[in-house]
Amino acid sequence: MARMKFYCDAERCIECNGCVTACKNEHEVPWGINRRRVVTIKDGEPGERSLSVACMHCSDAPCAAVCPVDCFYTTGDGVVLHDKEICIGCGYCFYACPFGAPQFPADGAFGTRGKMDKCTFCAGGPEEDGSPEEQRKYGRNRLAEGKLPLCAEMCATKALLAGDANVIADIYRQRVIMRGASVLGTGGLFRDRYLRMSPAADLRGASSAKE
Amino acid sequence: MRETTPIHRGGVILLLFALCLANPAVPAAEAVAGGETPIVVPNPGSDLWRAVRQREGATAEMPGTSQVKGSDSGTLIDARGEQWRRYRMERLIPAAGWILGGVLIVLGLFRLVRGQVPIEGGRSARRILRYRMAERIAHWSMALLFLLLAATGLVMLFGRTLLLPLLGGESFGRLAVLSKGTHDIAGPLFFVAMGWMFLRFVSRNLPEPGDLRWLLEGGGMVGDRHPSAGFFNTGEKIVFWLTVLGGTLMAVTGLLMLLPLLGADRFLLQLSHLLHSATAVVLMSAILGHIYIATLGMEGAMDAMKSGWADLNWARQHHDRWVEEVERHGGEIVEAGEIAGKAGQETSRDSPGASA
Repeated sequence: MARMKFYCDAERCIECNGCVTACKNEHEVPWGINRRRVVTIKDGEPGERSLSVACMHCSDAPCAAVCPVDCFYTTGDGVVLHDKEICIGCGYCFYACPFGAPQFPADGAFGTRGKMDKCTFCAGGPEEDGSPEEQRKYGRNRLAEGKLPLCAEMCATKALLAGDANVIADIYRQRVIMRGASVLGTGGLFRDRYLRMSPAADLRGASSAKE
Repeated sequence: MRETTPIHRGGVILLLFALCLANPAVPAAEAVAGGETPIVVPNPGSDLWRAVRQREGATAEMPGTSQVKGSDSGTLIDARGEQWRRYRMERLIPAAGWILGGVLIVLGLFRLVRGQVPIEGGRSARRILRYRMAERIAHWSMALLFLLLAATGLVMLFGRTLLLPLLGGESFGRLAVLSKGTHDIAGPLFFVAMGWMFLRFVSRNLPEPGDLRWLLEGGGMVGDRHPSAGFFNTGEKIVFWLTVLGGTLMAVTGLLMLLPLLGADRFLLQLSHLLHSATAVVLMSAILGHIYIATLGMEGAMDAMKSGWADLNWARQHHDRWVEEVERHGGEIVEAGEIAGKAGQETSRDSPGASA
């Protein structure tokens, strides 16, 4: 069995929100629910980075640990799923999750918290694979169809990767090495102040400042 | 120039990194033999990601923005969730178990040692009007809702540990959904009942000089002395103010957690849960004591809240200053046989002893 993982490459993400749109469309999630979102840090400043974030399918998932009704389970693929028949909509998973992945529709009486909804890694829920019931509650089960999460498949710059952790790690390792090489060659990729200046002058300045 | 594979180039970088790590105080320029251009390759992202991950040593807040609008959707990682998890799983659940269990054990031991406090000189033939119908309805509606909230809240707190293995997934699932729904509806109703109770009782729960002496005498918990008290003794006043202030805090934090429309961010929700749960444990402990005195601890203590009329000897023993006042003003003290038709009648708008 594969261990499924998401990886988002901050050097590649261009904040197009294609993953967010693809996810919403594929699973037909209701208004106000965003299983995936793109967060931009230092927006409009030097060093701006964007990352697409959803449920990270943690090994020691805080949501599962704090759930008062124990509605979470981890599949053989390492995907963290939950059972909406058991969920009571208390919101504890949202308090505990560092990524803000659990979402709650305000569909109870007076707009109270409804049952939690989150990224399923396109793996549906506890119902029979591909059943209309599963489709209605959790969206499409692409993993059962032999496909990977649509957000990653749709990513134009291949910033967002999803799949077997070993494969993802290999791809990322390759990228890091290539980037290191490009720094050596042209000093280009990381727009860092050391690299913008003449390296020798900068270092001389730094060493004299230290003395 | 010879073609180098990415792996080879990567090796050069690793070597440079190793050099920098080995002696960070020495500038790389001196470490590399003259002529070649030295290259320092710090990870420019390290400070950024340390700040984003809220790691220790992070110097700046790193708020982000997102096209997705929602409460703190711009926060990439909120490490405080882990603190909240530790609070709930490692502090709250064990501590609540110890405190509530401890209170029950202490009350049980106290009953064994102290026994039931009897009415001195036995029950009297005369009764004194203590609570009117509206006051009793306010009290009992609040009490019922409190018990409901406590029970359903305890299902949420201890259910997974205690009930889930006993009942199995399906039954416990149904109980949990029912508990959550009941808790959400009973909460706002409790606040209304509490407000009503507050208006009816607040004038008799204001602190007065006698309270200090009552406290110094320990409320007569030990020994046979009965400290002097007015309509409400200090213990009752403490329960009143705990319920009113604690109940208000419970209502505010409860609504924040219940309604996403209020837009509380995660930190406010975690804080709300912390206050809500800690206050709940304090209130449940206090109410356990309150229920103990009314039922097991003291003879005649619950009469007045049941029928409106208290035994005169009981009243003299525990609320001497109130009885004196009622007698001075010619309040309602009747023979036991006469109350059948009078119980709970609203004969006047003034509550007995309201001036106390």
